[in-house]
Amino acid sequence: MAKTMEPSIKTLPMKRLLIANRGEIAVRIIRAARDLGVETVAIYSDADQFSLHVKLADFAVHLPGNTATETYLNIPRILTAIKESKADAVHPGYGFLSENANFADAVTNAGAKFVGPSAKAMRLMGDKVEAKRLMKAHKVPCVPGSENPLKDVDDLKRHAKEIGFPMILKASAGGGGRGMRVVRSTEELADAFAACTREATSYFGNPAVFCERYIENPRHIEVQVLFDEHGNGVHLFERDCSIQRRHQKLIEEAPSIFLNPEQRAEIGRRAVVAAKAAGYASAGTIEFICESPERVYFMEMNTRIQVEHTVSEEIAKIDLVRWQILVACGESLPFKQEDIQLSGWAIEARINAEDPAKGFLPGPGRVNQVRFPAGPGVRLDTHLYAGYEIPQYYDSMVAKLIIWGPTREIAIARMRRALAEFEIDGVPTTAKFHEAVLQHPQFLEGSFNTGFVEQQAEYFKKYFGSIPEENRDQAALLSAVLAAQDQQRGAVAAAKDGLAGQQSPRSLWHERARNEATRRGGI
Amino acid sequence: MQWKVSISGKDQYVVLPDAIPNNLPFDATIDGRSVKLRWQKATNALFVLDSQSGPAWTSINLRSSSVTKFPGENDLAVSAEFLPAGTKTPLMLEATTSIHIPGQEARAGAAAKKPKVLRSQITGKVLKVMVKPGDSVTSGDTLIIIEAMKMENRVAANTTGLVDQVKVTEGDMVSSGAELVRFKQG
Repeated sequence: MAKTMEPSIKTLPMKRLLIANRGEIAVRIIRAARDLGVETVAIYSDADQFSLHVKLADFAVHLPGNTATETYLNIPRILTAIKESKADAVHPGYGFLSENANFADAVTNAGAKFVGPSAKAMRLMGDKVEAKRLMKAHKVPCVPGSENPLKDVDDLKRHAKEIGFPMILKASAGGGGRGMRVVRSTEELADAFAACTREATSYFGNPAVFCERYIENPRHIEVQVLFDEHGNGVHLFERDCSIQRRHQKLIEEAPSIFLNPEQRAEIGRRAVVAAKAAGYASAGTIEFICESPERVYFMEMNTRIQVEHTVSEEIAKIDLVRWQILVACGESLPFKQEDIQLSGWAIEARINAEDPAKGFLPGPGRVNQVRFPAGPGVRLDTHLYAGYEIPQYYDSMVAKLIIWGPTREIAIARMRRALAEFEIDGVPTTAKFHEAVLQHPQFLEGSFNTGFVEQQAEYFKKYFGSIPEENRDQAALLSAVLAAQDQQRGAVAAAKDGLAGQQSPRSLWHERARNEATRRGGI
Repeated sequence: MQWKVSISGKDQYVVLPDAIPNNLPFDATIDGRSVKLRWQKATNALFVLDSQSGPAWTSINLRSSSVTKFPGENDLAVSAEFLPAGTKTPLMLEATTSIHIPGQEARAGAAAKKPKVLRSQITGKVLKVMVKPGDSVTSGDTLIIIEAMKMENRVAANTTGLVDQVKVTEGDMVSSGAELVRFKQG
C-alpha cells in the first residue's frame, strides 16, 4: 500500500464537477467527487432520465434526444450545460468525448477545468505515427516497421526483407480495423500495397500507408500511469486484457501472469518514460503488444480513464478517479514509485447485456430484479437497479464485477462465487461467458492470448449448448414455472379461449396488452 | 393446468396448479412423476422436495430469465439461467412452452399452415433492409440489419423461399418479437 499524504480537501479549488458521460462511469466519478466534497452535475438524454447517475448527482441537466450525437457527443449542448449549471470542471469519463482534444480545448475556453491531460498531449498521443516516432526517440521499443509512409512497392519490399512475414500494412490515418492488410509472402506485396493505398485514399482521404511486423494473437498488456501537473509520475503496474472478443475486452486482470517481477519493473519503467515524453498529466494507459515476455512493444496511449482502471486500483490501493480530480486541482502526487506496493491479484469481469449463447446478441430491456454479490474481495461498479430499463442506444456494458484476492487462485475462486450470487433477471448477460472462461484449464494456468475466445469457439458452443440430461426435468419444470408466472399477465385466458392466432378484435386487443406487459414487465 | 415444454425438440408435460402460491408447498407432475415444490417469488428460488432429497428442500436458484411472447402465436420463448443446488455450473435453458389443452392438436395442425415469418430477436433500429417482396431468399441469407447498443446485428432468413411482405423500413424502431418479413407459402 502506498504511503499517502492526503491533501486537505477543504482547500480544493474545484467546487462543481460536470460529468460528460453516463452509466457506471458517471456513477463512479460522482462517488469520487463526493468523497472529496465536490458537487456533481449529471447530463442525461431522454432515454437516461431514470438512470442512476441522474439520481445520484447534485444537479442534472437534460440534453434532449437519444442518439449519442444529439446528447453525449454534442459539444455545443454540453458547453451550454456547463454554463447553465455553473460547473467549474468537467470529467469526460471514457468513450464519448474523452479523447477529443477539441472538446478539452472548448471546456478550457469556457473557463472550466478539463479533468484529464492537456489537449496538446491528447493530440500528440492520438496521432499513431507521431506517437511512435516520439517513443522511438525515447528508446521505448515499438513494433518493427517503417517509420515513414511507404514511397512505393520497392520501398515496401526493402522493409519486408528487414521485418519478415507476416507483416501488416496500415493506413496512417486509419482506425477501427479499416485500411489494414496482413501480408504473408513476397508475392502478395504488390497487390496488398495497391489495395491498401486505394482504401486509405477512399476511406480516410490520405493515401499514406506504413508497414510493420504483424504479431499474431499477441497478449494485450497495458500499464496504468498517474502523473501530476508538476512532472511527477508513477505507474500502478500492468493489466492483462487478453480475453477479448472482436477487440472488445471482456476480462481484465492485474498483474499479468505472463510477466516476472523484473519484466514487470521494466514494462512499468517504459510506461513512465512514455508518459513523461508526452508531457502527460492525469491518469492514462500505455498499451503494449506482447509477442513474448522479452518482446514487448509500445502500441498506443489511451489518454483517459479506462473501463478496467479498477483492477489497478485494487492491487495498488490507489483511487485513480480521486487522483484525477486532485491532479486537476493542481495537487502534487505525495507518493513515489517505491511507495507503491503490489498487493495481491485483481480480476474484472465485464457484465454486458448480451447473450453469449447467441453470438453476443445485445439484449436491451427492463431489468426485473437484481441481486448483487458481496462478501470478501467483491466490488461492483454498476448503474443497475431493479426496474431499470437498459436503453438500446448506448453501450451494452451494465456492470463491472471486480474481485480482489491475495493470490490469483483465490481471486478466481471468489469471482466464481460472486458470479454465482449475481442475479440479473429480465435481460441476458455475459455472466455465463465469464463462468465458462473461469473454468477453462488454459485460463487457469495462464496460457492464453488475444485469440483465446476465437480459438475456443467449440468449447463455448458446447458449454452454452448443453443441458445435462439428469437436469432436464428440472429445467423443464422451471421453464413451466416461468411460463405459469406469465399467466398472471393474461396469457392463460387468451390460450384457454383459443383466441391466440385468430384475428378477432378482442384477441388483438388482448395481445397488444400482453405484449406491452411482456416488453415492460418481463415475466 | 398442463404445460407442454419443448427443449431441443423434446416435449415434456408438466402439471401445475392454476395459481402458484408464494412460498407454500404445492404438488406438481413432471412427465408423470410427482414432486412437491415451493416457489419463492421474492428470491427467485424454487425449492424441490422429491424422493431423493427426502425431508430436505433442495433449491434451484433462478439467476436470469426472459420470456418472449410472439404476436399471434401460442408459444412463449423462455430463456433462463439457473443454478441447481450442488452444481457449480450454471444451466442454460432455451425452451418454448405453451399451455396444453386436450383437443388443441387440431389447431396446431392449422398453425402449421400459417405463413412463415421472420421475427426480430432484439429491440433496436432497422438500419438496412436488403430484401423486397418477390425476392427469392435462401435460409441463412442476411435480410435485415438491426442496430442495438452500438452493434450491427444481422438478421438471417429462417427459411428458403419467396418474400411475400417486408413489414419494416429503414429507420423503424422494432421491439423483440416484432414481425420483419413474411414469406410466401409453399
